[in-house]
Amino acid sequence: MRAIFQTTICLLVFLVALIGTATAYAAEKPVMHWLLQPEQVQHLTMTDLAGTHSGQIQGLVRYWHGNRLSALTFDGLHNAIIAPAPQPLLKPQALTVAAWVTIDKPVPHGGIAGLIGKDKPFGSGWWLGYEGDRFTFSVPTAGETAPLKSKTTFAPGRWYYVAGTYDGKTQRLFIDGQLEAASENSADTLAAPEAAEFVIGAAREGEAVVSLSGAIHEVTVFDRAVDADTLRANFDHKSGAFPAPLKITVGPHVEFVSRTDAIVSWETAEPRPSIVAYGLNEQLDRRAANDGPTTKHQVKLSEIEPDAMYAFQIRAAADATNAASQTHMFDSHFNYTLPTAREEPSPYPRDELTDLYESFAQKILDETDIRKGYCLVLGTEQGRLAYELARRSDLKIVAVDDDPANIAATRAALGDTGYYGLRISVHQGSLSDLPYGEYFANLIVSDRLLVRGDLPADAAEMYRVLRPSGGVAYLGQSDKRRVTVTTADLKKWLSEDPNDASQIREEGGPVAIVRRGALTGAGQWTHQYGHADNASCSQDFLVRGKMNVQWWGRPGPRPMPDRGPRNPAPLSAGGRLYVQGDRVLFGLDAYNGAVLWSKQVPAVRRANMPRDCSNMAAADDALYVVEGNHVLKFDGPTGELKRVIDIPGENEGAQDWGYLACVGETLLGSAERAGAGYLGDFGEWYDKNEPSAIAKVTSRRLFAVDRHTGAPRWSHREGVIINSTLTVADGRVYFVESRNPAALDNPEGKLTDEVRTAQYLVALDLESGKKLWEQATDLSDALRVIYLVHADDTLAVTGSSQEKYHIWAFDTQEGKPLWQEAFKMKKEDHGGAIQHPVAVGSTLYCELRGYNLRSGKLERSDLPERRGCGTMAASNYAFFYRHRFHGMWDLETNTRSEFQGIRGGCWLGQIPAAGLMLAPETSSGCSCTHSIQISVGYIPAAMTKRAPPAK
Amino acid sequence: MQPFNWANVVSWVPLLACPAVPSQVRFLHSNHVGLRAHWRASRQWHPFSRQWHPAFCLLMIFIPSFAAAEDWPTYMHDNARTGVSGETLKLPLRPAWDYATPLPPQPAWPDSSKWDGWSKTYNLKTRQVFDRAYHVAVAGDALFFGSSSSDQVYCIDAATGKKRWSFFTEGPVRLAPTFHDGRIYFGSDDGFVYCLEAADGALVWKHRPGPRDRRIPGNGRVISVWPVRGSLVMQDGLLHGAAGMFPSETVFVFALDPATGEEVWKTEQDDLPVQGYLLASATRLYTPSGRDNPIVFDRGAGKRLRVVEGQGGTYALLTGDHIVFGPGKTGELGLVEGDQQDQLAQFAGNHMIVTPSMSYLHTDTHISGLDRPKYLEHSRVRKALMQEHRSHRDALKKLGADGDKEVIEKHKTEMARISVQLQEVAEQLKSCITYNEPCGQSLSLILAGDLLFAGGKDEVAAYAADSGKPLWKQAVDGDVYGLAVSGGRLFVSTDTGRIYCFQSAE
Repeated sequence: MRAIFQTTICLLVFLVALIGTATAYAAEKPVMHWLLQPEQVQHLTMTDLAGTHSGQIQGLVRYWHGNRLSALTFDGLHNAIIAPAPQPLLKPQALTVAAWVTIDKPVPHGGIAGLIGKDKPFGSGWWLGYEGDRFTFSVPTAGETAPLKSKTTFAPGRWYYVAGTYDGKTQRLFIDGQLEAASENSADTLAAPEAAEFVIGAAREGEAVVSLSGAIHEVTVFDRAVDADTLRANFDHKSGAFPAPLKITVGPHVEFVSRTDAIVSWETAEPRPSIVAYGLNEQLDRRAANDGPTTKHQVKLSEIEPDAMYAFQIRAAADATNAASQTHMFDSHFNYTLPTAREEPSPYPRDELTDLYESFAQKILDETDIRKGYCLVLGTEQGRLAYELARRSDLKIVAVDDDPANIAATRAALGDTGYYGLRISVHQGSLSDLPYGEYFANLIVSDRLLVRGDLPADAAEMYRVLRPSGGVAYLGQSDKRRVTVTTADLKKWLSEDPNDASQIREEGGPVAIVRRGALTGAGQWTHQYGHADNASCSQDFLVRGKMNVQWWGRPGPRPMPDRGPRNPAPLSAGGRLYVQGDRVLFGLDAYNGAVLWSKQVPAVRRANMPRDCSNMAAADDALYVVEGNHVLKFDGPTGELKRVIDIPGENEGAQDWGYLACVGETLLGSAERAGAGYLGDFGEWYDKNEPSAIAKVTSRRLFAVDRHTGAPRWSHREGVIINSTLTVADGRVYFVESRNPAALDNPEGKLTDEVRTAQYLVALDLESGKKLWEQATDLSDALRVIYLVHADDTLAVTGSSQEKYHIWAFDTQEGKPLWQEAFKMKKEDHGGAIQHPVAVGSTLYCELRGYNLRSGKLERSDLPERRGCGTMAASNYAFFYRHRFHGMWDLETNTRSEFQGIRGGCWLGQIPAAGLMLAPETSSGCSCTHSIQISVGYIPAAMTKRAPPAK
Repeated sequence: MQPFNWANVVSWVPLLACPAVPSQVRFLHSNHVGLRAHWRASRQWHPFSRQWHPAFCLLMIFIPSFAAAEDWPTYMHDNARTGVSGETLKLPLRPAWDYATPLPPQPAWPDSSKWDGWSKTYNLKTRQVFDRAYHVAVAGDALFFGSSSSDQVYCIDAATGKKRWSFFTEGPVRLAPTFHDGRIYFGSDDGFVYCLEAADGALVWKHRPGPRDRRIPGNGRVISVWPVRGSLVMQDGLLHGAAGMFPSETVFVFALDPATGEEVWKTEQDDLPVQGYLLASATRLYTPSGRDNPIVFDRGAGKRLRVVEGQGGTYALLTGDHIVFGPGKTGELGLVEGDQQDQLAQFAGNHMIVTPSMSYLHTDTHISGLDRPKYLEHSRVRKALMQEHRSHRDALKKLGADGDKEVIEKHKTEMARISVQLQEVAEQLKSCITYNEPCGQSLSLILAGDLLFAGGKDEVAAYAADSGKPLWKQAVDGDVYGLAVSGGRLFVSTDTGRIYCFQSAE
């Protein structure tokens, strides 16, 4: 009996203790506990740890990664989490709201977490936020109560534990566990909106929503005031998990070097070890490192899975406790390296020809430096030259022979190797009537000539398929014992085209080397609107008439930005096509579409071209790309980073490189507010007449540097320059600037009304930067867009207001007004109000009208209807644009045609250059059922061997 | 009266083929030597022979497949691409052999966009998934496949996995060959249609449907402007196919005499390409159009009839005179009836298997059974209601805000009534789902007897067709895009270029 009594007592004590513990635990439990990590997110829904509250994530979901924890990033534009507000928190008697947060950009009124009214006038309830660069906390009362402000001013990239408490009487603000501000308040007079939502990462400013720019890891809300010791303990518990921001001065860039390996490269100001944390599924569980301290870093990541998204972060130390970069992503879908053939013994015997083939193949590659693209072998023999070239390069080789025995022998040798097919195609056919399209071969060689001394049949046919602008024919013999061909024989094969470089060498035997020059009459597209004159005309004389497909291939839609946000145009120079994807760059061969190189560049992105300027410019030998506050100069053929060019001159606070043009040996640039440019990451269309779309990106300084060395030449600073008007032609730089004090004093880099007054059209000398003239002018009607074009000694400013297009023409010599015109626009949507003009010859085409540039006389209004959201590009004879599909308007015949099944994006994506019409994929994201979604090159049918009969 | 249902007929194939097909047909399964000679000797008995036995003439009218049930003579078993074999494999299966080509497949088309920024639609589907693995055709103990990396067509001994022969084309072969009457037929990106002797790979004829031999860089290879990317499909003594990629260069849909390769008819089109596996019924030819929607042709004369409506995609199957296709924008299969243009029903899923009584739907995460007749019945009601609703809505729009109030009210009342009915139908449609079970393999699906085989990332699995319960799973190297069952074997094709053969452990 006693035992039973004792047991009962023990049980009761245990139960009381248990209930007590549970009660205590319940008291400690927050009302809401949001951990902004991937495991809490299902698509666009975030659930709190208890699973009792959930909120919708607005905008794209991206993460920052720390040490064994992560955070949701907020883009400063669209991101926020909105959840129903729990009833007990609407007018709480007591409260604590705490958050781990990092903020990149101060704003007048920012939000971390709190209550916002659902309906107008969108009043706020209790609120943890920031004003300028100080944290704030407020528990509003019926009367006016100033929010508590922190003493701490936050630094971009640094993490803070911010907590506001309210015990019914006193509100307190803690930063990193330290009390920084307190004031008395009374719960009796607490104010809250009638219907409120709980919002993380955004604030209301009137009707506008201001999204936080930074990241939030955790938000906890209690219905009681948590004491200072607990807050300090919370801070101590996690503070080590947030590394300090690591400043990366250049990059990072990611480039695949094999099917499984990628190189990450970046630069830092101080020498550091090179460490990359990376992994799949938003995890950073893998490390790659080079220990030696350096400022120019390169780390190889191995065993990269195909078709997968990787997160990665640059770290400053192996233990990752002190500093880390932002988290970036790279995508192995964009690995265009060739599969590696298994290392197997040569399928050919080791004999007296072995050295000949091996050495000749090596010599071809070394002397031509052509290692990618397509190689044509005229006369394949046993396939040995093709094989040795394939082994030593990334060339795709087409071997053609008219002898079935040679075809059979080549297939017998190579058919079971990993080279046959993808790397070496073997075709049976006539050498004097090749079945191939024009200009497809980067390199042409002959096995038959090498071993037998027999010349391939037809030089003209060879030149027909040899790529212009650098394609090489390398034909000859190198083994003295076998030489039967003579120099005289080879001379017949040399090019007579003055653009080509031909030579014959005698090294063991005669070898003819012909490097083709550019096609006469071919134009280039080196800047956003053709050339730096913004005329949207490539000056190409070849692209006209019926067009045939020249090539098609990658990139496809996946690496491209959504088609909507008016993205930068592709460029073409030196026979190459440069394409800017969504933070991915591509260098393609313009004539055969071969992907010569690609790089993932997380910090390279720009959108809304109608209100800004492009971040790319091309020269014959190089591609220049803006990355933050500097320009990257990439080698055109290889994509190798040759130089980083910084903004020259004095430091004017955080600034980005804005305008970019490459004219002659000069690189022009402008300095704009850091972060002023549009990114278009939320699929924005920038079509409507609203401030968030039409604000013009502006620059405060214009400068010139040497394009090879980056050496400064001159700098100009006066008004606020509208980027979309910067134009270079005939040794001058032209632009529209505003000297309105409201524009000059405005800290924003994007302005609308401020730049519509006190406007000047300005001309500078390109060489010296000296002002040549300026013309005060009123262009205020150019509200939605404003462009400047130079052609035929005329400067034409075009723009649009609510319903009209406006044109103002000026003489280039002194800036005197020539004429002006306004006309009603045909439609306001789908780019109808923001068309960029095109100048061909002496005619300015502005939204379906053609005006004489000098006189303003309306020359034609018969331009065909345009259906689509893009703008036009022209050669000297034809316009290209989106008309449902890829569309074309032939100026000579005034006929419109369309390339059914394939469409472009919502700005300028078809460029007539290199004698071709180049249309890289720009329709990405279009869920419509266009049957083909890929990059395409078209060639005028008149330039092909057998033009098909006109339909 | 219900429309005639091809799927019902498909399910009869095993019943008709096993006991009734003469023994001369079944020799194929045991002896490949002298394959063609034996086949020819038996052709008077075979349904595909030109000298058809009267009994088979009747059968031919109803059976979209050309093969004995034990064969898998073309992609997804038959010309309706049903993916249904009458064979039942006894689980568990064990690996018998695997065959690897030197290089993995080189698919023509890269992945889809990451998202649609305008409509904020995520997880967009790639709508041109037809060449990510080496799909196989199996006749007796011979397995055939084409390679997009080595430009060859291979014949493999289905019992041993040893190569018997290969045939070289001059471009990637992206689609599985079709076996018929001792010969195989296939197209190549080099612009030619080929006919080979199945026994030894000897070339019988080749034919170029395109207007001339012009080869240019396309999808990373130097190929014809008119690649043969519409698979070859044999129906009623005609070999159908398609060539051409870019509508601006003209696309050709054709029927050839299988004996000679001569053109019987050829139809040009300048608006859509043809890419993927063609489908054929007794009277119709269906051509997938890459990302776009399938086109329907009159098979007899090649006259183009219509483009069906939907969200596009190259995956398609016929169930009677209905076409089901997708995966559309985000994984939807649309069903278009007979001579209709618009969709009757839409199913959330990437693949579908149809039998007379049940359909099986395959989504990214689940496999489900569907009482198909009931579902279609309700779908028809829904379609009619929606049309009725639309007509009232249009009428309201026409009337405008200033219209006759009484008439406006009448339309509104009708719309409210229809909305209630639509909700009821929606519930009835839900009730047609007999089970919905998790399935971790979302890339491919076939039915063999009472087993569903599903291909996924690095694995293949079997599920009970009647319940969706998992029964067997096997790891493989690569993503499984191709499945076939023939001769007691399961063949699994992956994107790493491997072809696996599994057999019953017993």
